[in-house]
Amino acid sequence: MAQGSGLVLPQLGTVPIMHRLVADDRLAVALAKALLEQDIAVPRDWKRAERDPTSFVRLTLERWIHTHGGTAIRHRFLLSGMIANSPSDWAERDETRPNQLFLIVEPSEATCGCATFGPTLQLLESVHPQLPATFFHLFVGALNRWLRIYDHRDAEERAETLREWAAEEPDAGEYELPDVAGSVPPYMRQAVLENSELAHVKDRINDSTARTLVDAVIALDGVSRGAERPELDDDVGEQLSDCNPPPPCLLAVFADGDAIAGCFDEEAQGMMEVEPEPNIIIPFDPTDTESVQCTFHTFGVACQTIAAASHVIDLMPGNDQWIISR
Amino acid sequence: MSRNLNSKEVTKRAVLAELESLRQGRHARYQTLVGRFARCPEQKSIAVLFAGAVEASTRTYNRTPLDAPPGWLPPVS
Repeated sequence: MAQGSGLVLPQLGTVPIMHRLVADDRLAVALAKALLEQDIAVPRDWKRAERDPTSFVRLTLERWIHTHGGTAIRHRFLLSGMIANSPSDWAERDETRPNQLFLIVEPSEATCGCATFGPTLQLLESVHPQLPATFFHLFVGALNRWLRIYDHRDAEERAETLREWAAEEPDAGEYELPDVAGSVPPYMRQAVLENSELAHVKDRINDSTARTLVDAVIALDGVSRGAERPELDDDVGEQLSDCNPPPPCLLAVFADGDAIAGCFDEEAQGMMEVEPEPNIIIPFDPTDTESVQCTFHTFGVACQTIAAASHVIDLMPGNDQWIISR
Repeated sequence: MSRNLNSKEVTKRAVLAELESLRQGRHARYQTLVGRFARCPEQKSIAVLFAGAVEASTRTYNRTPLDAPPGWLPPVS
């Protein structure tokens, strides 16, 4: 303990406040090296990381998220990204693949974002009867490539399950089941416009808000197609076999407190009973520079997609609430 | 601008060199007893075997010796 300036009280100023036991940072060293070689990592972060490979990788991940829309993501979504040696907390590490790591994205604190589509779709219906369904499916399709969205289709499935359960009860007629179909606006039954038709319709939009919304959702769709989500092989599937499905990161409703929100609230109570799968799992080999580059590119596209979705929700009327971070 | 680029490149090379020495286990942080142990699979296997042997011998010999009946000779050690 350091010598104090007083007579009796010792000083703790020079005593290290953090100790870390590193059993084996071989993969962290390999990953740090690959990240730096590919210019994904920034050399000056090495000093900030106090020359620790694990901290260096963490700082690089934070920087990568920030440069791929981190601020916009945090505005509407509460997610965490991490690198681990198993695809889930419950999964045991596959000892036959000593060089395998996983880049994982999952909701933090079991929190789900929310977007209300009703006012936006009503505005778009006044432009073209097929535009609401086109907008909705472009948005949900783009984000669903990377994150799970809970929408009216999930709610209908839940309502059907509840109906089947209720039918087995002796007092089946007494149950009040959510009217999901009644919450889905009629314009959602229209066919989705083809790309060429959408371009034609877009050119004829006079309303500036409607035009901005359509431009933004087309951009979102384009960004989300910038990379392919990696397929997980059977071994990883086996590791996740005891997990629940991934929890939704966004609830898509047509009106506040509609039957879709009701179904989600009811279903959400059981979503965390068993450890859920992460929303994004990208397996990679940190000793293979190409694998690291591909993983960070894919992760960057996922981040940009979520940031673009957050931007679209900001533009959608009636979504001043549900903001997670300003 | 080029001086900044050079400075960045120099830092990058220095960090890569340090990471390479970490990768090869030549870095000072691995020159401790625990550091050498953490990077040596043979030592880890030996430790596991040794711990298992100690545990097995504990089970085998973990018996409470009874006092010899009065008049018996003391045990020979």
